[in-house]
Amino acid sequence: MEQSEQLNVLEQCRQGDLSGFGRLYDFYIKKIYSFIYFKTHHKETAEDLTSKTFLKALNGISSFSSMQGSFSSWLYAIARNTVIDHYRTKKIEADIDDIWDLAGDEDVMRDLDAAQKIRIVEQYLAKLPARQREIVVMRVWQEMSYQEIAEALGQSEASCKMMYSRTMKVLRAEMPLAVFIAMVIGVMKI
Amino acid sequence: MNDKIKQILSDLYAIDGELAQHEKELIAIVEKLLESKPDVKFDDRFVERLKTELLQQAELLEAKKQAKPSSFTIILERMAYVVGGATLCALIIVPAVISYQGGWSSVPGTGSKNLAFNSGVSRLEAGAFGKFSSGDMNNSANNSAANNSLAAGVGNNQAKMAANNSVVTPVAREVKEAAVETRLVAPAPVPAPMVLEDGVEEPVADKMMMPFIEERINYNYVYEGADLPVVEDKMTVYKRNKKSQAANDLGQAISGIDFDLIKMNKFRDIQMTNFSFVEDREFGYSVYFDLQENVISMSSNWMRWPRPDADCRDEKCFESYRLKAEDVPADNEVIAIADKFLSDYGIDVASYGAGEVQNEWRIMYAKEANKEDFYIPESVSVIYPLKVDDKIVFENWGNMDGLVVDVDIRNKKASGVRNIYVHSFQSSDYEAETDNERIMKIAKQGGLYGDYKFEDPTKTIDVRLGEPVLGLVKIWKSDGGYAGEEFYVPAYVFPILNKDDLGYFGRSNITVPVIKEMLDDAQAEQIQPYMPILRSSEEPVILEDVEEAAIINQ
Repeated sequence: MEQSEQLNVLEQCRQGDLSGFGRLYDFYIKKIYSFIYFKTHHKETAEDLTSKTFLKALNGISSFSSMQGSFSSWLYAIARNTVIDHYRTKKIEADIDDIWDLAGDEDVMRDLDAAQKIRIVEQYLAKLPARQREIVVMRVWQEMSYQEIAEALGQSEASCKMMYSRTMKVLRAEMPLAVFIAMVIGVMKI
Repeated sequence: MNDKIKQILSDLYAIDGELAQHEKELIAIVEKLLESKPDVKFDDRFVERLKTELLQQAELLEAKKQAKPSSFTIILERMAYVVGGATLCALIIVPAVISYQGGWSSVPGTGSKNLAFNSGVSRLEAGAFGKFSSGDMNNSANNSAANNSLAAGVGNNQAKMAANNSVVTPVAREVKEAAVETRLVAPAPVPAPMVLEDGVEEPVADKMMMPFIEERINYNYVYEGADLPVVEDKMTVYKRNKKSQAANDLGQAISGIDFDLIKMNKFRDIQMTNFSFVEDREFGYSVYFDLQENVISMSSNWMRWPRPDADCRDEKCFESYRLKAEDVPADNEVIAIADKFLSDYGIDVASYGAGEVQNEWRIMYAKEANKEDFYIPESVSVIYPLKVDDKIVFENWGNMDGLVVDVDIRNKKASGVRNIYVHSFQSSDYEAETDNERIMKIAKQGGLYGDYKFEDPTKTIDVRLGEPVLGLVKIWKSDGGYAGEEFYVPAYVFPILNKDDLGYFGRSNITVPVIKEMLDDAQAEQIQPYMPILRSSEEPVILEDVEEAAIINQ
């Protein structure tokens, strides 16, 4: 969706004509759902939180202003906060941003295949601050461009790139031996 | 190293060239990250459902913002001066029901808009519906017959329509037994009388005469297909939500109305269970809302549909109005009439497949030697098969379930529609049977319910089964009280390839549910004949000697 088209739709919505919201939905649904899925690892939870995100966006869109930033960053912020609220209502502890902060907690629902897949990298990604982990996930798993990441996080492209490279350095320092061993074992099984 | 990894690394080196010194480690890390990427399970059906809900919500928000008096409220204000409370109540109730089912919180002012229902599937944990048993398939056979007659609506014409209806509805067990031809035996030679102490002979009572089943047909199911489609270890069972908020809300609305004849405020916890209205015009309809089953049906207002034979007083007159086979339009014309009817009344067909005309009467007509005596139905039905999550829903007896539009042959008009359901479901996963041999064994016995096998059949007919599709079969389970809950369980549906040659068989498909606990619970039920088995009318049997006679006659 072109930026200009997005701005037109937002202006219409601000004036009370919400018919264009469907086009925004079509453009963002997969991105937001994937963003939330990578934070919850559970299909039903991701669908539920995605629904809440878009409902909140719909209810608030007529008062959204570009002074608040881009629509993308606003929408991702809603998604992020919706995930945080979800986990913080379930667990009393304050500092839970998403399921990565609950690694090893058996009470939290996860899709089994997702849990299996991330088994090796989980301990390393879980240690990262939420914002750094988001950047890695967006870049490597969601294949977003730096521009898209910057818009989603409400930061400059340069700072996103910097944070990304620093995060990869951290992973390089933490991961390599275990990863090599896992890869060797994987090759031997084949 | 693949292109994706190259791109990721080249981005990194562009940010920080120093990272290039650690390429091998970075390759390993990126590869492991890519390998570990979970499958997000993006579900197109969820996307569509959510979009529908959001667009409904958007309309509601727009309406609130505009806050103009609607055409509906203006009509209400005018009507309040000129009509009685009952009519006004009907005007309030009809759109209110639709509005509640559309998820709106107040009576809408948009009567001219298409109204979307709250459809969708909400997912529950595995096994959420409790245990399923083979007995639930029995319940489905009996309930299908009951619900079909209920859905046919009120009024005499509905009864006539049901009689004329050529849709082969699933047949309850008792009716299936009736399909087996029975004939009371001619009075058999009186058995040897009992001799009493005083030498008087006491004849055996006539009540000990047994009926004799003349034509005893066994069906041999033969599979003609390749391997069965693969099922997953767990398959999804759906439960249709029948609870309607409208029942409570309309109950509250009616409790607030002041009827002179009775004090409504004496009643507590009122729930509206159903209501209906008729159109008082030529070719008008009667519409019935069942709020306990969450279903709507329409039928002709029989008092306003012309019947030219209604004034006939002799056979000649009736004969002159009898329909002929050539009066029945071609299938495409019948479907066009049904399609237009559904479109005109805004009945959403998104959850249904394309319409199919039910032409069983033509099969019987083709076989009829004396075609002049054959009764051509007054209406034919078009069934739009229901789809839940892209799977067609069948009744236990193998016929498709769905929207049924009846087309009046004489007037070339749709005379009604049944099974307008609100498509709101819960779903839960259950363990599936993956042993194909077990599935085939059940298919070859005629389904989970099975057929009775006569020990001495007069005829054995092959029923050829084609490759199955995975569909859903509708069953009922008790809710623990007096009501039944409606479920759709995944099933193999084997089409009967030679059904036109079977005469009255009454089935189009054989269904085999794949839920393991249902198959585990199945018992080898045999359909019992009405009476003990006899070999011939020359051998009357005393009731008490039934078992011995059965053994003797083997």
